[in-house]
Amino acid sequence: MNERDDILEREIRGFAAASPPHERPGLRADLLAEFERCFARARRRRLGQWIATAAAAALLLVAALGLALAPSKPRPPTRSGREGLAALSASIERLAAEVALLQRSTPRPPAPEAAGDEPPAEGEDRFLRAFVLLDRDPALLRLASARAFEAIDPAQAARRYHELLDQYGESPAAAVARARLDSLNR
Amino acid sequence: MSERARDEEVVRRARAGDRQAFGELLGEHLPGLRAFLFRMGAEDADLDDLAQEVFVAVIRGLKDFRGAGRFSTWLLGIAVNVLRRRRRVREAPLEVARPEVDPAPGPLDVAVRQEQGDLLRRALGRLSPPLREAFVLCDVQGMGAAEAALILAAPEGTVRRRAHDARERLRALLAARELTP
Repeated sequence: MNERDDILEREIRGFAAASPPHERPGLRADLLAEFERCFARARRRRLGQWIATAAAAALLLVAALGLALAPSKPRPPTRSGREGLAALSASIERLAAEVALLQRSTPRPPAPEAAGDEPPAEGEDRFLRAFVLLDRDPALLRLASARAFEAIDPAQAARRYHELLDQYGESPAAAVARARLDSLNR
Repeated sequence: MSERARDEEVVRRARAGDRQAFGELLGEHLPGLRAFLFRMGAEDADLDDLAQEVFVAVIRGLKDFRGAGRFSTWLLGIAVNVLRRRRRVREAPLEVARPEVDPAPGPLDVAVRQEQGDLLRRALGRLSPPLREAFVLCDVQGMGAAEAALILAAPEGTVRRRAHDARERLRALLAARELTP
């Protein structure tokens, strides 16, 4: 190894061993805070999307149940229709009781603490709880969806009623579905 | 558990939002990152700002890190991009930090600086950024050309050639003693 190589090798060893100046106090704390801010934003985005879905489903249910309970024609309901409506009414009463119970027993989430956090939309909790309840009764959700389609696309509504009957033939919602199908076929 | 497996596990937890895991990543990789930035010629005053910029990019990019390579490789790749962007913003080569506190260093200071590779630090400031990057990664950090190529997003052969050219240029500079304080 010649002298030029010796100099370079020695310098590389010294350079590699040299330490940078001391780390700024608070650098790690700043980075940890940035990490938390970034993930809090991501969590809020996901929650916002979920709430939007829940709100849409809850609004659809409310609209569809309103239609289902209102007499669409001045005609006496069939026997199966009457039984179905009675069962549905009982189911709605149970859901309402559960909602009331949940509202009493579930503590409200703490207020956001970081600056710039958006406050939760008014009624957000109610929508979330309604969505949870809807999630427990998929037949009811199908019924609401099909009922909403009656005014837009009766053929699509009929297909949905048939699907509901195929999958949830024993549920209270099925009786209403049969009655609505009879009504659509007339 | 191997270093790579441990890194993957910590990164997986950090990607899920685990603050403690991110703290572990900082503990493991921040000193090495700062040393790399220092070797690349970052000024002392800028060093922590640059390190912060790199780790903020890491936080935002964690979700895209699929663990195809080592975390440290990915980290240094981000660091190289941050340095290049900083150079473009300044439209001038990154200046090498020069000690200004003591305009007339004594013989002991000179000896210590030489001992700590200060001459090489000055010489690196005379190299073009591509040569400096290849030299620091291959000859100072001790990486293979393949990993350095991943970090620099350049072909392996190009990295080898740049590192070789950098060594030649540095030998000439050091031999000429142009840089002696």
